Formats: sequence, structure tokens, C-alpha cells
Amino acid sequence: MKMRLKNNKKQKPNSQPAALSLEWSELICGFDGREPLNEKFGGQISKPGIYAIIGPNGSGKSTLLKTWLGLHSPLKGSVTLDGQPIAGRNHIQCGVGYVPQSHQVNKFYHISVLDFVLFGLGPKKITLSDKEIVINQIKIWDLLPQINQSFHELSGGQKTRAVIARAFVSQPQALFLDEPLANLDLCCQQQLMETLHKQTHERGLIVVMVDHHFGAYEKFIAQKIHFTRAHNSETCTISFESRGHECCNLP
Amino acid sequence: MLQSTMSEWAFLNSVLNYEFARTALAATVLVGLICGILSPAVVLKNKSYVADTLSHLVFPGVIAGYFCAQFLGWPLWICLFVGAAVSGLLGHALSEFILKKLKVPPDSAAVVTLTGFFGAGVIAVSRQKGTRIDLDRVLFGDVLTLEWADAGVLLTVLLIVFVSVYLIKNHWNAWLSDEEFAKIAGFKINLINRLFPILMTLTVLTGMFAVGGLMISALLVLPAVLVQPRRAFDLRVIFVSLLVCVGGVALAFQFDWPLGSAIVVLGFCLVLVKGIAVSLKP
Repeated sequence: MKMRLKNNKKQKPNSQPAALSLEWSELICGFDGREPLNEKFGGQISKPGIYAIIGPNGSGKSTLLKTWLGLHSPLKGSVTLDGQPIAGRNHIQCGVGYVPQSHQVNKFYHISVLDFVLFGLGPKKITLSDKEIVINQIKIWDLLPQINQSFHELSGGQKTRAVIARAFVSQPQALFLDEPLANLDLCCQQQLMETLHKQTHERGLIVVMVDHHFGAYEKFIAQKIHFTRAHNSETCTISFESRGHECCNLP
Repeated sequence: MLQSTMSEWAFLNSVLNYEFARTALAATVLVGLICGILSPAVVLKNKSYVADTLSHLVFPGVIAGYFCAQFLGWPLWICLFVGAAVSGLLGHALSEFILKKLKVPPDSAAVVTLTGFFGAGVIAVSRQKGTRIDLDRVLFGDVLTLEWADAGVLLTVLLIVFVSVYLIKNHWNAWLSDEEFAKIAGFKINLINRLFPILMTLTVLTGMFAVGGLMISALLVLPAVLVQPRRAFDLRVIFVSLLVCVGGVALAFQFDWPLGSAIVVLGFCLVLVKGIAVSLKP
């Protein structure tokens, strides 16, 4: 199947449309020696909006996200960013941000929150203005009192906020988030979703989010990508759902 | 009290009049500096077992190198170095293979490989009745027999380790924090993943001939455990590593203790003191 993900034509026009285009064709995700996680599918994301990947545990949502990011090799098919293979590219320079699950951070490395968020700028020489941007993001995500504290002394929700702040400091044009709502309290969930929604309009941000359900935040979502696993099968079927408007072309 | 300290100092001074003692001190200082640079990466990345594993993995390579030198007439140090390097890197690769394919904890994969390699080395020694290889020397080193050329090899390794860590220290920090994100953010994670086992093998190899295989693995861990750094390159760790090594040399010369053991016992006592100090802190 082939799909094209576009945002609502009735929404306000974006002042800065995203230049990025993520394209994948005949993509099958999974691990060597095991059954594929999904049926072959292709598509393109090039328009601003929030795209949600939804499905049960172990269905391959995070694997699809990592395959799109080039962190995981597909079993079949290819993924390109602006026409070039995505694997091995400097994502920050390309305008791509990533919010992994916070438990991926090495628990033996007691780095301060400030230094942790600074990594979001990539391997460049850090200037004073860079540092201001980082401190501003730390302030936005309400972590200023913990700025010099070890990342591992933070609560689960604070860790997720630090990981989100790290992704935002590079001002990405496309942001990929892996279950960001899981550890956040309602207030922070609301803040995250409103910030993402606002930035899709103001900066033309493309957001791809993995989660089990979005509850009250479904109104922000432009397109849903559902993973559905049939009984007695490892492989999921993928279906698409637009939120109140037609925004994908299925064969 | 002052008189006793003065006489001890005079004794150490007199010992350092000997060439072998000066070489031993220089070699130990160099080992201390190398371990001080690598120690944060080893401890903060939870790779302490790698140092211990490598010190055993290189054993069959040392034996093979020894045989090559004896039967083929090639220079001994080249045979030992190449044999140990090949054995260490091969063992590391096999350990990673077991880890990935069988999905067992990394230390379990390492223990299985290290005991296998060490056992192969012992079998190789036992099969050659006419050859006597001193296992103690491989495990505990023999710093007093080192020559200035050995110190030169250690200095070369120190320069390689220093350049590899210092010049890309931000990349090492990112590697320590979150490899997956660091890769996406453009840090040289693949380079570091290749560099780390090479630097470890070089360090274990050269340190093995100075303070011994078992001691080098302890020296790679102790400084970072004592300082608990927050970055991959930390001058405090290097200073503490140097201090432990020089202190160990002083103890070894003063009380006629084996050098490697003196260093490690001193380091262990300092870790205990730190633990007690932290627990007494309000």
C-alpha cells in the first residue's frame, strides 16, 4: 500500500512551510531471523502537522520510528530524507530532532541537566548564545531549579521533560517522539501537545509521535497510523485514519 | 616523627639511584597517566569487566607470540604485541557475538569468553613440555625488569590514548550519555565504538608487561571510582591515578612489596576511606 500524508487544507497557512520530506517505499520493519513486524508499505511525510503512530505493545511502533530515523535497518525497502538515504546522516544539521524514551540514557553517567540538554546542539562549538537557548528551553520545560542536578536524580516526568528540551534546542523542522506522554503529568502532557501543535503552525514543524493512545489530545492530531496485529500473527497490518478531514491517499 | 619521614625519604632517594628503579617509576607513572585518561570511559560506560576480560583474552596471543619468537626466530616483543593484540580483539569480537546472538548480559558473555581464551592459553603452555612460560609474570607483570625501550612503548600508547580521548572529548561525553541520540545528533559514535576496544587492548597489553594483567584491569577502574567524574576527560582522575601509582611505588620500594599489588591495595584502601567519608557526611 502507498500513502501520502498531508495536513488539513482548511487549516491556517503556515508562515514557514517545512522543507523536509521523509519518504519510504516498500518498507518492512523488523529484526533478522524473526517475522516481519509490518506489511510492506510506502509513503511520504512532507507537510507540517502531528502524525501519531498507535498500536499495542510490541507491535513495532518504535521500530518503525527508528527505521524512519535510520537507527534501525529495515528488513526490506528504503527510507530517504530529501531524496538521500537517511542512515548515517547528521540529523541535527538536516533539521531532524528525536525524543527517545528517557530510560535509554546511561544510568551510570551522572551528567548535569544543563550538559545533558547541551548535547541537543550536536558536536558544534558552544557559544554564549547557544547556552542562552539551552537555558531558555530548560526554563520552558520547568527544570531551572534542577539545572545543575544530575539527570538521574530527576523524577521520571522531569527526565522526559529534559529529553524533550534536548530535542527542541536545535529548532528541528521534523521531530520524532517515542512515547513522550508516558511519564508526564496531565499539565506537562497538555504543555507538550500545545507546544507541538503551535509549532506546526508557527514554524511548519512536522511531528511524528509514537504512543498507545492520545486521549484528550486527539484533537491535535492530523493523521493516525494504526498498527493492528491479527490473532496468532507477529506481523501487523497498517491502517490510516485522518482526523475529520481527508489527508491521505490510499491505493 | 620528622626524623623517621626524613630517613624514609632518604631511602627512596637511594633506591632511585638505581637504573631499574628509575625505569620502574617512569613506567608506572606512564601506566598511571594512561589509566587515568581511560578510566572515566571504562567506569561510566559500565565496561569495567572489559578491562578484566581483555587481560585474560590476550593470554593465548602472548603464548602464540612467545612460540613464534622461539621457533621462527622473530623479535620477541613484536611477536608478543601482535599476538596479544590479535587475541584481544578477536576475543572482544567473539564476546560481542555471543552477547548479541544469545542475548545474555554483557558480563556473562565476557566471562565465558575470557575463561575460554585463558584455558586455551594454559592448554597451549601444557602441550609444550620443553617450554616454560612464567604465568605469574603474565598476570602480575615484572616492572623491575623493564627497560627504557618499554617505557618508550608506554609513552607511545599514552600519546595515542590522550589524542584519541582529548581531541574528541565531546563525542566521548555524548557516547557515555545516550548513544542512540548521540548518533542522530551527529556525534562520532561509530568511531568511538571502534576506538574504545582498540585503546583498551593497547592499554591492557602494554600495562600487562609493567604491572601485570590483573593489576591493569584494577588500575583502569580505581581512579574513576575514587573521583566519580561527570565527563570522559577529567584532569582530577588523571591526577588521582598518578597519585595512586606513585604512592604504590613508594610503598613497594619501602616495604619490598610486589609493585602491582601495592598500587591496587593502596587504591582499594582509598576507595574504602572515601566510602566511609561519604557515609559520615551529614
